[in-house]
Amino acid sequence: MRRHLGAVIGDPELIHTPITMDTTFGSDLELESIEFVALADRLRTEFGARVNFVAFLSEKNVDDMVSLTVGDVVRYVAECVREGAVETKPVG
Amino acid sequence: MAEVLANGVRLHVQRLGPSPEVRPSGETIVLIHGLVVDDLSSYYFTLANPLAAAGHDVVLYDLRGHGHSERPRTGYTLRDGIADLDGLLTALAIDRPIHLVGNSYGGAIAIGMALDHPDRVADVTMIEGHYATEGFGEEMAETLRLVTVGIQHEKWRNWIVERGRKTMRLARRGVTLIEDTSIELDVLDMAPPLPSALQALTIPILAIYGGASEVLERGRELERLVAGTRLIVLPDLDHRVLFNTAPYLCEVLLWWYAGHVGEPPVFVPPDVPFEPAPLSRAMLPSA
Repeated sequence: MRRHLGAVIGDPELIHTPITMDTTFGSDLELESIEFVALADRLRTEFGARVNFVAFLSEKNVDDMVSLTVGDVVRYVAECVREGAVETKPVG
Repeated sequence: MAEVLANGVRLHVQRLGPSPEVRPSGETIVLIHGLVVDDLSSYYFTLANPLAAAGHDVVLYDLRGHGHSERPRTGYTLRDGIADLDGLLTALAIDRPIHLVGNSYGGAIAIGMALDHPDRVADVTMIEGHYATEGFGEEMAETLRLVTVGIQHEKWRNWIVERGRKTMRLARRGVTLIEDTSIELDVLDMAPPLPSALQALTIPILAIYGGASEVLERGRELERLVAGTRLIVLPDLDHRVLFNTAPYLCEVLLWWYAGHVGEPPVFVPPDVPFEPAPLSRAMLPSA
């Protein structure tokens, strides 16, 4: 996640912000909407359609988006990957 | 990030859907954003995903100079915008008629595309959409001037500062676009379509405008001139219809693309008041 964020954060003043699971995209990283798009794009490229970050964000209102943390996204991705692994596990 | 070379410019493009769980509709919807302080993200987290989830192929792109697209110094006339879209469709090998959605200035590109390339366009949705009319170029140039003047203006500057560095970056980027490119001159270079050309349009048009918007008259004029226009006026809303009513717009678009039988979904205003637009022409110093 740190690698992806490093690639999408546009503000040079924020690029060295320490990133933890509690870091918020809104007040800490001040990610712009177009940077969220870039993040979603990178997650889709890495994990495929099983990680639908756009759908995940579409369900959130403005307040949710501001308080969204790195940990929220990491947990969401981990859950998608785990579910995908179960679905594709061969039977028998 | 997907980059597509269209009309000689690298455009940032995102393509969603159709979702694997649903049967593809076979229809492509292209979403066109507004000028200067806008980019494809206005659609990405609002309309794009529900449309893809309904089985549509959804294409979003940043106009030249905007978002993550290339920013050439020139080429910002309406004709260039239409040529960029035409080039994008060619580059993506989309040859079936598409459904266009234009927000604000994106509406001018959508209507221009329908007039210049009628074989490419199945229908147009205008969300507070402009289109070339007498004096539109001057109006756009004044709006661009409002952005550059506005950022110096105490009231607007305070409004930006209150919203944090993110909003300040967005505003600065808009000012840079205006100062570093020919956009302010280029928007003046547009000939309005003849009323007879608009009257000859045979495609359906869905026109959604705010009841308190300065642009509402465009919707009313489309309704008068183009036989297939369905006008929806949302009471009390200003120009920021997409920003303020995205969930309702999703409902309306899904109804529209499902064949728009009967009446459109009823608009229920939210309990919280709409946030008014921060900029106004009253901020401009008198000539």
